[in-house]
Amino acid sequence: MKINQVIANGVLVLMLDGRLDAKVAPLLQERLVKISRQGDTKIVVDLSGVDFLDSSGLGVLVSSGRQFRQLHGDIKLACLGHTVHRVFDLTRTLGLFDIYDDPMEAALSFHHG
Amino acid sequence: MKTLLIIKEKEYGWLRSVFPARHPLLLTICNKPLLEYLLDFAILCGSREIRLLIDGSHEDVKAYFGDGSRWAVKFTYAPIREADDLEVVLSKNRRFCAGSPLLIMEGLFFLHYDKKEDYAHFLQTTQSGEVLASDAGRILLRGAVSQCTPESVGSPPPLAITPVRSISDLHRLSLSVLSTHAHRYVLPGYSNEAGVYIGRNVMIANTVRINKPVMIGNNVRIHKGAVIGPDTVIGNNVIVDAYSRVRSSIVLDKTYVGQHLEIKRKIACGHTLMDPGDGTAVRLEDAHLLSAMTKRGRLIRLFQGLCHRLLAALLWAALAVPYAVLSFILKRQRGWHQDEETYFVDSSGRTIRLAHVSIEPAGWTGRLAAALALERFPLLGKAAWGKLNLIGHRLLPASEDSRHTLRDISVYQPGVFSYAESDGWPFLDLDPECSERFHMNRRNIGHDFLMVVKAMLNRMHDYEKVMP
Repeated sequence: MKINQVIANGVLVLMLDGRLDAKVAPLLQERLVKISRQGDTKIVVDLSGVDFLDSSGLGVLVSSGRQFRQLHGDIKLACLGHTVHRVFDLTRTLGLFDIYDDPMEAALSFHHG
Repeated sequence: MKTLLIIKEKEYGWLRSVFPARHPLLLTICNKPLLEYLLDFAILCGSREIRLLIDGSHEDVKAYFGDGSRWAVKFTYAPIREADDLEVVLSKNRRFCAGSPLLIMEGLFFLHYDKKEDYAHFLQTTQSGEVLASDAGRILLRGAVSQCTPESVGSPPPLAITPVRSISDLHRLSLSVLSTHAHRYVLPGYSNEAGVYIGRNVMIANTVRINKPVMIGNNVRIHKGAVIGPDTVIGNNVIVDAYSRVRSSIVLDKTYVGQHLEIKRKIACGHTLMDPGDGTAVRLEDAHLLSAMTKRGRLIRLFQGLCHRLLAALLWAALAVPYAVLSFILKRQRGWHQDEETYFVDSSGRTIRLAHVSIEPAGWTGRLAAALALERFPLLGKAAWGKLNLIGHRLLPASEDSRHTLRDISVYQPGVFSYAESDGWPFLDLDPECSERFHMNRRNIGHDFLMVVKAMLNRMHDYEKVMP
């Protein structure tokens, strides 16, 4: 899996590409921990390139989201494909995140909230 | 034009407790989901891209609406949170909303419109802003450039919102659409005269009296002497048994109405009967009937049990030779798999270990074995010993999921064959539980014998290309 990052509207956007499964979930977790230690607690995760998400990938997003919120930040998700959306829906975790169809808009929303 | 349908759980949460088995958005008015009326209206307005935004699970709704291709539109789904206001919702769906005027329907309500009116033209001549509002919801138009000229402005087409907040609202709306406004909507079913709508796979005995207006859904059986209507909506997968009367009522999907019953001004749903007048609901003790179950005498039950055992023994003897030959051949061809599984054997949750055989119906030997139902052969022995019925309910594996199903069946009597598979053809879509309820209420030895024969014939029909 590739993890690219850009700054949009002053907010860090992580763009994931590939499978988010047990093999790469620890890498993502490590990256998110590193980001939070740097003081970036408001980030957007763009999932448009993710074609597979399993429970470990979902677990990383949910637990990191919780940690970021404890630090008065948040993780907002953007561009969920059909497969990824279904995993969130089946596991009833859709309500845990703000989900946008545009990562730029998700980044901008941090300035409104 | 694009449309956003925004519906929050708090607006339909009450429906979950009243009808726990179905998604509230799929609850029907005249056998058509409430949400589908809103979808139809969006299409009438010229929308070809429609997005549903809800804060609950989408799965059941997705299973019904799919990608919208059935309506020749693109139907998509996106999540929202309960606290999101309209501006947040729009920002979360910015890409979808871009580049086209937007029709927004917010709230769960029934929308009165008329399919013959030109709503697309009406919206083209309407300024952006609130088109219609009530305390149950609102309709908004965004990003529209009004092409309003003095001659283009006529009288607005009919459009009104009715809240759906109680079963009384549901009952009243259904009957008013059926009896007065049916011509305004696209309703399911075939209609060759006003006030009568009949769905697919409907069997009506020739002594049944139908008093219009009436709507009957798909896969419905109405038995002799029954009187249906006026002002009655019968849902899908429903059986109305002999000599029952249903009027001014709604019988929702998967309901079995027993014999000699009168249902008047009620909503029947599974084994719950609701009075729309005062909102009271009675959950009937017997989970599979809306009528009393007749308790037969001990001698009759003993005689029936003996007949089941005798028939099972006869069938066992008839199939012994084909079983010995075909199982031997199929085992050599690796087309015969046998293991043991635990099944529930009565309502108390008692279990029994039974042989579980699966046959690969590849090749003529496999198809012949499947057509003769040889995988049931070991069960016939159990039935001959009286440990199982010859025909009855489906065998439920002893699992937690099945335990929930078991709780809903007051007298569980599993059989080698099930009534549901006897009904499997030609009523392909008949609900198995509904079918079992019907036959369990009618069981006698003659009936059971015929149903076993039918189950066997159905098998042969399924594997009719059995010859090499």
